[in-house]
Amino acid sequence: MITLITANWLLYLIALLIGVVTAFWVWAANDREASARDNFITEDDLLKNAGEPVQPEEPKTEQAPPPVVKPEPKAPPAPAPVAVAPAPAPKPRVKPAAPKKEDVPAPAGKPAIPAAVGEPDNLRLIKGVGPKLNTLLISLGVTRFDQIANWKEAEITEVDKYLDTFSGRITRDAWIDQAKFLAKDDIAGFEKKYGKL
Amino acid sequence: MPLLLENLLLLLITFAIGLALGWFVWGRNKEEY
Repeated sequence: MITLITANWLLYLIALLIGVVTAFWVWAANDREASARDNFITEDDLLKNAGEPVQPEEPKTEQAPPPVVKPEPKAPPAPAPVAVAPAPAPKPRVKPAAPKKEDVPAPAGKPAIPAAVGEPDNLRLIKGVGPKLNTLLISLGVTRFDQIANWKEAEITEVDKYLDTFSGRITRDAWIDQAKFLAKDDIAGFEKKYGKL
Repeated sequence: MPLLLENLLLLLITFAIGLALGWFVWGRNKEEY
């Protein structure tokens, strides 16, 4: 066996790499989609709420190219903005959102939302709700699909305050839309849009 | 065991090891929510 490995080590290395790449494709690809959506939401929010922090970054990138072409005196300061400007540009857009979520601790008690009526559903059927979120939701009095399906902006914001580190998941993972399908028992419609249950 | 079969088995094992490594890095934390 050892002779076989030493003879074909490159082949095994390739097989190992294919395994890693497959794993990356399966698990990390979903994460990238989610984070891309998250970034889009935070960028959108920043543009709506505070356009000022975003605007100063744009002139920097516009100013940067001309000094490179222009005469020597302006050439030295040019590389610094070019090198620095693109790097911090995407980070501040994400960073302001993160501290907001972490700085505000989840309040004690339960959110002021309509109570669930009837037998509890298995909320883990909602894509993006795992065991931790499920337990948290139950402790908040959220137990049914129809309850989630009827949430409006006010309820989403209210519940979001109690989700702590999971804040933003309701909209990002489209819980309302998912819950609408599940509340109607429209499994086919759900699976068509969100994948197998 | 024929040489070809042994080779294939080893390739499958290394693929599985790669997959496990990848899961450990990218897939493991997905179960925490």
